Amino acid sequence: MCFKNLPIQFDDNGKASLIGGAGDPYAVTVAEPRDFVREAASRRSAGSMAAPPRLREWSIDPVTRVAGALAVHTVLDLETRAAVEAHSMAMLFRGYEIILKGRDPRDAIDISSRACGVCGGVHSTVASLGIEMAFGITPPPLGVTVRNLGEVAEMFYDHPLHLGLLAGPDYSTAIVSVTNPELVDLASATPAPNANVHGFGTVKDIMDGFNPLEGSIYLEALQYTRIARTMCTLMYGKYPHPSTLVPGGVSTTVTTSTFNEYYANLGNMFDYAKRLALIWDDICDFFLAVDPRYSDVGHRPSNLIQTGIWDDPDVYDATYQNIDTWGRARYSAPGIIKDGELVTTKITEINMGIEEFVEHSYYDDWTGNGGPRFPTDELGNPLSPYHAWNKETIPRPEGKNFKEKYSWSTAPRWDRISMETGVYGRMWTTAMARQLPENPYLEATGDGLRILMPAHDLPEMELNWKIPAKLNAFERNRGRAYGVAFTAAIGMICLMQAFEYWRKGETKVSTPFKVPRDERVSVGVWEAGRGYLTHHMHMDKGKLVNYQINTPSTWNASPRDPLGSPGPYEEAIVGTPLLESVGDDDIKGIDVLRAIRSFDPCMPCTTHMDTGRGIITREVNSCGCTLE
Amino acid sequence: MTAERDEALDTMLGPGSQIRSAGPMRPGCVLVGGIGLPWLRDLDFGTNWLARAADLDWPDDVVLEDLSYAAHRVMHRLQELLPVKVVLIGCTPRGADPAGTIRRYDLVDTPMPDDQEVHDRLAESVGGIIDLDHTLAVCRHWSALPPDTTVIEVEPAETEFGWGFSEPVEEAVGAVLDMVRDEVGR
Repeated sequence: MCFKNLPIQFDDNGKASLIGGAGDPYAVTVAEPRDFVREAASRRSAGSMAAPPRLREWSIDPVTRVAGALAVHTVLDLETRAAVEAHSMAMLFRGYEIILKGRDPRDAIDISSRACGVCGGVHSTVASLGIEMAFGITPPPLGVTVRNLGEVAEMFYDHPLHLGLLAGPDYSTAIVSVTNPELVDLASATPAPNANVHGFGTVKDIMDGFNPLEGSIYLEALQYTRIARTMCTLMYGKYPHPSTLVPGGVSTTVTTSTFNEYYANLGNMFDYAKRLALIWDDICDFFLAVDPRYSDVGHRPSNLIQTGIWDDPDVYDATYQNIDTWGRARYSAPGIIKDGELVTTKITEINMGIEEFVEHSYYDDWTGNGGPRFPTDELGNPLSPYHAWNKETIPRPEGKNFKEKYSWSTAPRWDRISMETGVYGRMWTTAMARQLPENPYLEATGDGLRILMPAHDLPEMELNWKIPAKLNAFERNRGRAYGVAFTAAIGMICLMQAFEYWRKGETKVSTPFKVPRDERVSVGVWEAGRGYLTHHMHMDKGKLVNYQINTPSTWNASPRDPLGSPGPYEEAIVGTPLLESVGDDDIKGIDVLRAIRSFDPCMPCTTHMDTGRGIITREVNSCGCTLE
Repeated sequence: MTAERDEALDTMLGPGSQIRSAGPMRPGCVLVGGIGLPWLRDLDFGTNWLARAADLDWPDDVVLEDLSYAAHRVMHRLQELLPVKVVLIGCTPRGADPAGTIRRYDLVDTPMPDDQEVHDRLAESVGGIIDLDHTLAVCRHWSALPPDTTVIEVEPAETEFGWGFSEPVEEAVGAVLDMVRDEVGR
């Protein structure tokens, strides 16, 4: 039984149903948003004459080195040196769901791709998956494999970019020498344990490598974005907005040369993955050893949601009826981690538990107009009125304050719990699920992953990623670094499959289809670099009736929900210690920024629409928004 | 140049489109690159100007290419192409000149952005932001642009979602062509 808060029960056959009773089973009693400052103050003053805390409001707008427009409001307690309040604000309205209404479903592949200038391919892919479910078509095995390889390459673009250019500088000599100069001295006297692999003699050398614009880790990451993009274009034709992803497979012309060229680039990734994992091991272990309070930076409960990626071509059939079967066969497992434990790997249960709230978001509630359009999925599993298939996007940028509304992000919840998602989450679910097929490169051990990176310039190497005992900023980054190796291992598995299909003459990569005219409901389930990604779709008469996009950063950046509970960024910031060794006036807030950036925030960064009631402070555009 | 939009060509264009192809490598070419923000009226000047220019006669060594993508990607492309001369065309709101004003400048006398600015602009670029100034900052920092680089940019009037240029920007199309002809003929 995976649900504790939603009114869902399971019979002996595992069939889900609503728990009977009076009234609306999904009713929400709106609570005051949780106010951490007041809680801290009352704890402090209970039975004592203690002086009021020295609080300083600190708003970061925009948060730099994240993708898109994110602002964070915090309150810092200078007495205890910790962040005591946080509000996460997505500053831009995208409107893709509104743009897509009434269109040919196939348009979703191209249009939704523009939601992100980093990894638009994942949106094209998830749209293709949703459409092929609606159309009732299944791609040929090699089509699935090409999609898998494209996704592998996308992760190679995303992870190094974040680790080298966005998060990495937070651990650079340039930054640390300002916030904690004593750590730089200590780092220069600390040999790097994995110097024999990554080549940095001391931890200070690693910190130098993270220096913006000139550090070797920074520059190497920039270079690897190029290699990743080359790999993407081999599978997708172009990137970040592929034109070859179609329902039923891909339209890419692939040959053995395509796969050989891909393999040559993948080989470079093997060595990079080895070095990157151990670089981040050394830097994380250094900080955590120097001061154990670093483990509280960005700490929040281990509640994660993952939708899974990389389909087994021989199992995937694009049907909702078999979604749990092909979902479980994914090389990266879907799943829910609650308080560190895996509670399900069934996509139907993940889907059943999803709700999206707008109590503190710039949207109107849609549930007042009669009952939900879809009280159950096609298998009879109950769905909330707040579920994506029942949701409508109604922008309403009013009531702009923290008690009312303060973000363009909605508040998705699973079983009414705030969930985060990320690279480390998919490794976590994969490790605990232990459902990987036998293969030479990747093994789920229950408490981690054993990853075999083949020889390239560096010798073959086994990397072992362990599920962290405490989820925090350092473990997110460490996980992401190991995620490059995890991805490379899956890339190798998929590449071997591609060669095998080719050898057997199974060279078809797409399936013909017709756009159905009757009513269809479907969901695309995939992951972006940052994790969870779904596109819920409802079509009729050949047009989209409703299209709902839910991205990883919608989960991670969510504001408080109607129950008053904070979103993951907010939760991770509150309680983050301020460990800078400088006076109050010189605090840079680096630990709060480390907490935020460790999620790899991606606030999809285009707004071409305005309701006329909002204020656009700055207009930015992601790559190639060739929207019609 | 015709002021009519070629919608079929527009549909074909996208970031990275080679309007007048160079192939993957063409050291020594003269690159005329457009940077535009699709479907945002005047802000899409670079791309659409290039699309119109595609049907004209150009010297053999001239490559016309849409560079409407993130700065670091443009840098990587320049490192492949190795042009001896670059002409960048865009439409950037500076606010100091009337709409339709054409600014033509080389980079010799344009101060280099400091490291922090380059880092900030690159951090935005890797997140997918397209911006002429980002491209200039990043490409100049790593010397991806040849010394002989000229920027021709127009002050926009209309920047809302939609098709076609505003009147003052439309009137600038021919003058920009004359400038580009002058640049590539040098």
